[in-house]
Amino acid sequence: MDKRFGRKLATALMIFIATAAILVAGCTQPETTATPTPTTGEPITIVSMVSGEPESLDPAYDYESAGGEIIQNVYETLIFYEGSDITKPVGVLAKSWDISEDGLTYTFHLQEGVKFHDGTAFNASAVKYSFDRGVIMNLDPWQAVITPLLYGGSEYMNSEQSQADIDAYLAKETVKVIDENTVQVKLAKPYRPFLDCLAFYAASIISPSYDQANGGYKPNEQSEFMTEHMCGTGPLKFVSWDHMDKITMVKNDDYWGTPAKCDKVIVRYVEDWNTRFLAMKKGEADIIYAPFQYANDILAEPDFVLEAGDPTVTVSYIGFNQNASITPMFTDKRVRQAFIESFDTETFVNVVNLGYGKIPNGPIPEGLPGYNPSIPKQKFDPEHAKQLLIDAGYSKSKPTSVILYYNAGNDGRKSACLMLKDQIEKYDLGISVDVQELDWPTYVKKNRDKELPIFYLGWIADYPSADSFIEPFCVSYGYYADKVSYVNETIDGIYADAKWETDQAKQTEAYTQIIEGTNEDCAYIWTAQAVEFQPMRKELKGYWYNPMNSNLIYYTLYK
Amino acid sequence: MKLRDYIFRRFLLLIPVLIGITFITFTLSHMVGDPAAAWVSDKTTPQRYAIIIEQHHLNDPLPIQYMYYINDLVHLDLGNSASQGERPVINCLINYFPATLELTMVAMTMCLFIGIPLGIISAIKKDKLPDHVVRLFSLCGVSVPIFWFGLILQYIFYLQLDMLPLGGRLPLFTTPPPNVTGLYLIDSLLAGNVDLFFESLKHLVMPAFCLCFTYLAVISRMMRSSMLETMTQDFIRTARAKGLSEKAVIFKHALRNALTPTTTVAGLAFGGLLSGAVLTETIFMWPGIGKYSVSAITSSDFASIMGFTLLVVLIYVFTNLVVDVLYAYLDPRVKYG
Repeated sequence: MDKRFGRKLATALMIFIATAAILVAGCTQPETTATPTPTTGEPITIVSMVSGEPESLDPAYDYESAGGEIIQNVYETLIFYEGSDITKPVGVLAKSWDISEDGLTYTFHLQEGVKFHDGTAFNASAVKYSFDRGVIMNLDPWQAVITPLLYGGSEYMNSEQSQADIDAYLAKETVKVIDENTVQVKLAKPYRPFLDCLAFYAASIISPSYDQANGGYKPNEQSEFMTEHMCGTGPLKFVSWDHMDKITMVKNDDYWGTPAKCDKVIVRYVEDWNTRFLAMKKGEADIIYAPFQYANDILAEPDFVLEAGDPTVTVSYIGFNQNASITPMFTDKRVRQAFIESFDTETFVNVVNLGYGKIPNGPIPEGLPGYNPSIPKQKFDPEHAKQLLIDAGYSKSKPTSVILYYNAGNDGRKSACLMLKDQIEKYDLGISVDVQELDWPTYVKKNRDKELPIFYLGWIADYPSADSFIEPFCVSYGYYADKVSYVNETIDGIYADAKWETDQAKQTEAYTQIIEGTNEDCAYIWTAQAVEFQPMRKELKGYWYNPMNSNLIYYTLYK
Repeated sequence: MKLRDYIFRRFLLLIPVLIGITFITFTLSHMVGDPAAAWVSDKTTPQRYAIIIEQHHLNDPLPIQYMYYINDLVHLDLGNSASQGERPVINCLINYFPATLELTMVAMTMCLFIGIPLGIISAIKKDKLPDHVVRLFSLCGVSVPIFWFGLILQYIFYLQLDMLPLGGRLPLFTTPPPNVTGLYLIDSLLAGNVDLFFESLKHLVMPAFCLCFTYLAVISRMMRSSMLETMTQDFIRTARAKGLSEKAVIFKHALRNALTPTTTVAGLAFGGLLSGAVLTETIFMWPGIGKYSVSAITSSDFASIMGFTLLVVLIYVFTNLVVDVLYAYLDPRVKYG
């Protein structure tokens, strides 16, 4: 028995040595399939390393930027924007359009000779099919497009469209095929930013025959097939999705417009920043996602370029819950004002965010139509803030505490919360601020249930309209106004008229009045507006930024 | 009791264990946060929220929801993974598990083939230089954070020496072998593609070593103490008294006895490696169940969490069974019962 065991052990050791030998041999073998270094004339492959993986590739279902990134490279919308401008929609699949005088009927004249990636022709029926599909599936991202179609307005955060609404939409032929290359859309009410809604990637046009051949669509349900497959008209074609690893796209050789400048795009999903950084340093990745905290690491690399500074359409803020049963202290405007004046926005943007950000003056981000630079920014005034708290009756003898929440893992938000805590507690008035993190699902749930007394969040526009910011924050039924129990009937009244205003200057004037009113009410601390932050290797060319791009556009990249 | 009967009985015992686990994971999952969290964002409308609640039976009392879950489970339906675009959980597990299994098996092999000899050397050369070196090595293994160690490996072997790839299972532009087992090492050999086998092996070296480093220390330390204890036994003295060479005493008499406790540790380590590959998989872009479970946990994707937990439980139970059977092989005094 012992001898047998000894022999087995010896055999095992031999196998180990042989494996080690193979291993070493393997390690020292020349690289057979290394990343190619393309030169002129050779196929160009762009490798991107980003953090999060898409939830879905179906434009009617996906509502996050990772999925939006792939969708906007493979699918196309009727319109989008040119360059970094978000004020003027330009035609993509729509060659041109007419808007009726009453602002209710949009007639789109479509590009001709466009083919989907499955070889079928793009036409007016495909537009109607994609729109009807989005409305009937009735999932999150489409709310932004459905609401203008059904009601004419932007109240999508609180809309309650029922099956009856959807049936009415279909019966009314809201989207009507006029001829092969003309499609007409009739709105219930005129809504000026409607074209912007159509630029949102949710309104992408998909191949009807491809969708139908693979199960089609059902009301209130996502399509399992289209979640993982794509068939659009875009300059890149979807090839494969290796879950938790990569998505591969290739150049669409039959593209109707300016063809993609690269032949292949591989988007890898790499959670760890260091791994992404090392890969780009070595040249294995051409472009990566990086949080701005790593700006100095990126700038120190001679082979890297950092494109940064253009404003995004996002705003970050701290909201006070004015519901007396949650936080009685925030029902007192003096306390809210004191908290606002205790937050040093300039230090936050310039020191914590390393200067990669803008100081907002309200919910509308800089660069968006309707932004008014003359609205004063919230000021940092600790002495006045302290006096306000004393006036409100706070003192060391009557200690009180409040919990300030942020979502776990967001270091920028954590720093902002700690800055505010530090300043409030410095006054030595017995107010203690506990900063607590919550995981994202719990955070969303508590916010939905209006249980957060004071919290840090951000808001990204679905489409570049001031409505997309004014309504959620300033109007009492708005998503965040509702969460913090903020009600100002005067503002509600101004907005009810202003949202239908077709004159941009008049609307901006009304919105300015609304923002000033909300700021006067001290409803939120406007903390920062994020800016573009994109590192890449210096040999990469063709990069362009538009705030409405969902992350990266790959088809213009080359090297 | 015969081995066959013993294994059969152990499999029967698996049923109450699994029922218990499903009950615990189900209850725990539904006690925290929003049950609909995985399907909603902060922009989800109230109307859509109500539809989601209804579609997933989240309005029903918990026992009814549990019955739905068990009913699906009996039909091998683990639900859909919300964090993976509603793909069936069973497909996700089938998809990701082979990657983790391959990584873990290679890591375990490294652990055993490096850890056991190191433990033996350490025991034989007790309190001498080799022992100190091995102990230092073990200390590093248990104390170095895995993400830092992974990063250092990447920096040295990828960036500086250019010997090993940064991560992933294969080079970016390489097509995987035809899927038979899901283990690229085996599938590439089955396809007769030796180049692919080496590529796959190269990609495994860093993550597997990173993963095995912690357990390497545990195994070598266990082997050392177990060996030292065995060396003080009477039968070793007898063997020496009979005039056997020290080599024969160690390898023929001591080693086999010392291996028994190490087997237990190795069995547990295997389960630990499988479920604990999270950080390694993240750093080395390894598309395995570790990464999958993290994304499921962070998005409160309960169906995936429960599916993943069930799988890990099954592996633990199965590994323990293998360990118990191995016991009897290594020590004939052990009886099944």
